[in-house]
Order: sequence, then structure tokens, then C-alpha cells
Amino acid sequence: MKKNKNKAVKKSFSFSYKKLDFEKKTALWGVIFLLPWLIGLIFFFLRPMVNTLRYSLSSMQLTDTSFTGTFVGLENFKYVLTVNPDFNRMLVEALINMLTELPFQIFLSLFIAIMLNGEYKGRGFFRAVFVIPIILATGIATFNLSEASLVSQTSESVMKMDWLTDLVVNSGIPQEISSLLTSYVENIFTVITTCGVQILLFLSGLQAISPSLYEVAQMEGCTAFETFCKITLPMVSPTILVCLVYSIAESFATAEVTLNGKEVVLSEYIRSQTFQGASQFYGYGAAMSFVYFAMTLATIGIICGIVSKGVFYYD
Amino acid sequence: MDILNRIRSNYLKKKKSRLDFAPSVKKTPRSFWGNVALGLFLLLMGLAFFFPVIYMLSQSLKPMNEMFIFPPRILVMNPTFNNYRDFVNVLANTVVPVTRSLFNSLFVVVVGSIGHIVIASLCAYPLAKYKFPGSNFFNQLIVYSLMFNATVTMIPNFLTIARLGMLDTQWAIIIPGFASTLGLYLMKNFMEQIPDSLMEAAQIDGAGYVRIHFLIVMPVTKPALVTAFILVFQSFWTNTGDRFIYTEANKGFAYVVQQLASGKISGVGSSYAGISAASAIIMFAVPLIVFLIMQNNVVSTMATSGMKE
Repeated sequence: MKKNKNKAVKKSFSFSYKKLDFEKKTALWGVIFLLPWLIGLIFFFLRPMVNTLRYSLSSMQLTDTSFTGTFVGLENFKYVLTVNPDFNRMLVEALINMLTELPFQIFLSLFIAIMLNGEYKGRGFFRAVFVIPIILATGIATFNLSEASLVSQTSESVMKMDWLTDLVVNSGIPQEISSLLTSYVENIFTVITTCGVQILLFLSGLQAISPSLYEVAQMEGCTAFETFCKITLPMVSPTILVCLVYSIAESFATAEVTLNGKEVVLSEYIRSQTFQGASQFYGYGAAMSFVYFAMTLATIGIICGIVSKGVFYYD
Repeated sequence: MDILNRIRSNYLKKKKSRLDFAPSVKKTPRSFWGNVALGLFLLLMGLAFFFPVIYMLSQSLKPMNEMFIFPPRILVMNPTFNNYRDFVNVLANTVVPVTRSLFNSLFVVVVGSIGHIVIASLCAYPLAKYKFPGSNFFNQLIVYSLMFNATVTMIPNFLTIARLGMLDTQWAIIIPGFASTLGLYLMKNFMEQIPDSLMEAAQIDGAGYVRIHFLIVMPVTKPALVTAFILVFQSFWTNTGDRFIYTEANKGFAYVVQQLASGKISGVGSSYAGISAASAIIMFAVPLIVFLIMQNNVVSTMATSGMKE
């Protein structure tokens, strides 16, 4: 139905643009403006997605001139999920890591964003301090300097987090909670460096809140805390949803899991499995990455499904 | 302590005088110590955020014998610029002249970033401001493609690039970069705040959509554009072009530095630890300079630019 409408618009465009009514003109320009990005999205996101699914369902043959597959059904998935000894375990580990870090990440970045959004002296300085590591973190994530791992290891040993860990362990809190807390303490640098984009997203969300709302609240005599609960939090809640999506996706994309006692990045593992040489591994690799993607999607779906119940849309 | 108290009383006095003419509202003003605590917290968090940068900097200034002391120190005893000198020396003797790879990087960064900004803002404008068939669907598509994971689409992407005949050229990095979504999302959020009346005014004066976009929407959304620019600049600058570019002469500066940092360029020997620290700082310095130039604009408020309705 929608497609037909678009077609109708385009057809009449070729006849007479001037006779179109205002709404149709707007729609037409909307589509024209969207087109370059859309083509990119189709070629580099949607089509590859479909192709990956196709590869994962077939046994791929790579010859000098062609790359073809014969349909084998769910064989590849069977291999990945039942024969491969590590993949399942690594997926679960990535999931658990993500779940423990997620709430901390969201709260921390919301908190910092609110602080950065306030009016006080030296705000520019603090903004710079919090935004510069985004540059650094994204750089190192892709750049993979040997220095990077050195930095995170030594920063932990220099900052001497041991006493904090000891404090948590000996404080008599139930063991499940204390192990969660120690994992926060141990991963503090990883968590902090992954907060950057979320802080930016929250900042842009906070600044979309109309100042008149705050004025009203002040007139009505709200305390700062009430203002936060009744205005800031509901107004920023759609951004929380987006941050959740981004954090989950990012945390899966860069998930580090243990393999034979060593830390490996899960997506690197999939890559190394895919390009082992023999062409049947292409199918396995495609199946792996599809399972991986499906899990990301499912997690995002579940968590966002729960959270979106509490999201407030202003319009 | 005495000084602190004096500052505190000054602070309270100032605050009181400011409130003289304000309507009497029930307000619990944050106490002085509360502000101090918050400030301290911010400072601590900032320090934790900033620590890796400081550590990298100190590491790059260390002479060889200090570099491997355990536990590592932040303070450098005898700071030297030897690491930077070695870095430059090695770069001067690479097989492919370093100017060539610098030029490659420059090309990718300039064409890629500007192209991305133009295309993404073009896309963000109608999505933020107009309703048309399918606009809801596209809005959701943006959020979904935030989870764009390069691993999943690795093989097909490679094939797409190959079929387009872009393998081994810079376009293999630039073109896929156009389709990234994060900047687009930031821009769309920001553009939703532009008052409609501004665009209506332009329309009444006879501006078409293209002109409205380039002469009104883009200048007004400069903060979002700049933020997106910094993010995308960074991703292009650090792209080593692995698995898309094979000819050494076509690789970018990031690739050369990466080879250096991991000690893969011959003739470096054991000094590569220092060189890699220096190269990390240099790789980091370029986006930093871009950031500092544009810093005033990073996600600054709409309210301050007087555009709020």
C-alpha cells in the first residue's frame, strides 16, 4: 500500500510537479532527501544481513571464480550450537557480563550527563574532560594498540583497587551481591570508557527538554528532587531506551570472553573461525554470527519491551 | 578550615542576594557542602575518565630504563623526547613514503566525514520535521541499525565492495562509512527542537526544501553536526583499512602507526615499546586538536542559542 502511494507520487512527478498538493510535495522531498542514506543502508546493512542468513543455511564452496552454496538447512546451526565446544558457553558469558554492567553504565552516564548539563563554573572544562576519553576509547577500540591493554591493566594496578575489593568482600554482604560489586570495581575502567557515547546521547536528550517545564515546576514549588522525578526522568526516558539499545549492542559487539584461559573478543573469535581456510567454515561463521546477532536482537527486544512500558512520550 | 568557612559564608551571602527579588518559592537550596561533594565527585570521575590519557602521556615521555619498572609510575624521573624522535626517524625510513600514507588518510577523512555529515543531515531533516508515508518506519529503522554489528555482515559486505570494484581503493572505507547511524540519530534528535515557524518563514520567503536545509537547518544544528563530525572523524582516522586495502601504498597513516606500534617494521628492535607509546599519543593528538578547535559547539544547548520556542 505504502509503496503504491510512493509510486503514484513519483509518476505524477514526471507529469507535472507543480500540480501536486503541498503534502505530496513534502513527501516527495522527504523521500529524495532520505534516498542517499537509504541506499547505503540497503547495500551495507539490509542486503548483507539477508545474505548472511542465506550463507548460514547453506554449505559454501569457494572456487577461483565463484562463491556458491548448496542448501543444507540447519546443519550449520547444529554444528555451531551442539558440536562446537566453546561457542555456547562464550555466548552465555557475554550475556552475563552485559547484564551486570548494563544498569551501572546507564545510571552512571545519566548521572554524569545531568551534571554536565547544569549551569556552573568550569562546565566547559568538565565537558572536555568527559568527551576527550570518547575520542580515546573509540580510537583504541578500533586501533587495537598493544599499548591499550597495557593501559587498562596498569591503571588498575596503579589505582590499587584491592582495598576496595577487600572491603566489599569482608563487609558481610551476601556473596552474590558482593561478587557483583567486586566485578564492578574490577571492571571500572572498562565500564567508564564505554560510557562516552551514552553520555552524549543523554546530553542531547536532556537538552531537548523545554526550560518552560522547569519554570512551571518552580512556580508550583517543586523541590529539586521532585523536579527530577516528575520532569527530567519522564522526559529523558525515550533516550534511556535508545541508550539501552546502544549499550547492549555495543557490549555484545565488544564482548570479551574467556577461551582456554585467555581473554578473547567474541567477534574476533568468530572472524578467526570463519577464515580458517577451508570453505565449509564460511557457513559455520555465518551461522555463528547470525546466532550472535539473533541473541543481541532478542536481548534488546526483551529488555526494551520491559522498559518501554515506563517510557513517556511527550507529544 | 577557616578559609573554607569564609568561602562558604561568602557563597551563601551571594546566593541570598541573588534571590532577593525572586518569587518566594519553596525551595531546598543545595547546601554548600553538597555542592562541594558533587564537585569532588565530578572531579574524581573526570580523573578516572582521564587517567588512561595521562598514563599514556607519561609512558611516552619515559626513557627506556623507566618504562619497565613495576609497579609503573605516573611521574617521570627524567622525561625525554627520545621516543618521539625515534618515531619520526623510523617513519622517515619506511618503504612507502610516509607522506603518501598521510595523504591517503587525509583523503579518507575529509571526503568521508564531510560526505557523511551532508548525507546524514539530509536524511535527518525530513525524518525530524515532516510526516510522510513510512516516516515512522524509518525512524524505527534508525534505532534498529544502531545495533549494526560489523561481524554479522562481514562476508557479504566484503563481496559487495568487491563487486562494486572498490577493493584496494580508499572508497572501500569511505562508502560504507556513509551508512553509519549514530551521527544521524544525534542530528535527528537535535533537529526536532528547531521551531517550525523558522522554516515556515523561509518557505514564505520562497525558499525550497534544498535551500532551507543548507541555509537554515544545517547552520542552526551546528552543535549536533560538530558532535557527529568528531565521532565520524575519529572512526575514519583510526581505520587501518584491513581486509579491504592490500597495496601498501594505498594504506592510511593509521596502518603504518599500527605496524610500528606492534613492532612489525624492521629496524626498530627493542625500542618499540617507547615508540608505540609515542605513536599512541600522536594518533590521539590529531582528533584531540580537531576536538579543541570545535569544542565550543559540542552539544551546546538550543536554549542558549535563543532558538527555543
